[in-house]
Amino acid sequence: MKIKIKFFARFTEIFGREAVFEYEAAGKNSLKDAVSTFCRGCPDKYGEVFTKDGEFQDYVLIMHNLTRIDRDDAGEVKVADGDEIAIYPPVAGG
Amino acid sequence: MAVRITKDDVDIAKLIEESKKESMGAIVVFDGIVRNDGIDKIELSAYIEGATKEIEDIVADAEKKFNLLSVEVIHRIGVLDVGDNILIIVIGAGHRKEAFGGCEYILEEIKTRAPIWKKEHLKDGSRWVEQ
Repeated sequence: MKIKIKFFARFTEIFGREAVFEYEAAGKNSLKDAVSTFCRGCPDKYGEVFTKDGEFQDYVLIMHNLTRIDRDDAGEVKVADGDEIAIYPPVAGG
Repeated sequence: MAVRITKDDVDIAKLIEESKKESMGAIVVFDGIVRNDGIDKIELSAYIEGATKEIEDIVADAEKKFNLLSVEVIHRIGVLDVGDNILIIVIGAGHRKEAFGGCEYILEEIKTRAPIWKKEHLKDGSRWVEQ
């Protein structure tokens, strides 16, 4: 399935603005696994988003199809072909 | 309700006039501007679709909690100078307490939830603002 991942703020300087990648779910099919799969493709940058234990860094915020997702739930959220995931650092608007 | 994320500045006086309804007893305006913290300029960027939806959700919550009669939220992006408008919130309600309460709620929620970021440009480089 094709998944679009968008990065914002300082993450754009690490990963670029967005990427569409072919995600082979291999039975896992979760948002966390999809993002981890993408980031493993950029090995020297993986630690920007994930800890050594494979958990999201605690400063990472996530949207899935424009809905905020708690980091702790990302392993349970299923993704489908055409989905959009946004990964970004703490916000600073206003 | 209107939520806009835009590079353009707005005419606040016109927004106030357009918000008025006979049932209103109060309009509260918040205008967040670029403060001079030793910066040259500030650059605002946003996940526009995500931020618009998040602010629309915040406004919908505020309308129910505070019985608001009108809400306009304009958040600017792009490169701004000291003194420029960043965030304009215009709230109309029957009474002042509802208008003040709704305005503060929307402002504080935007600051913690809307995917919008600031990058300060200094004379010798730049830095991301993280709250």
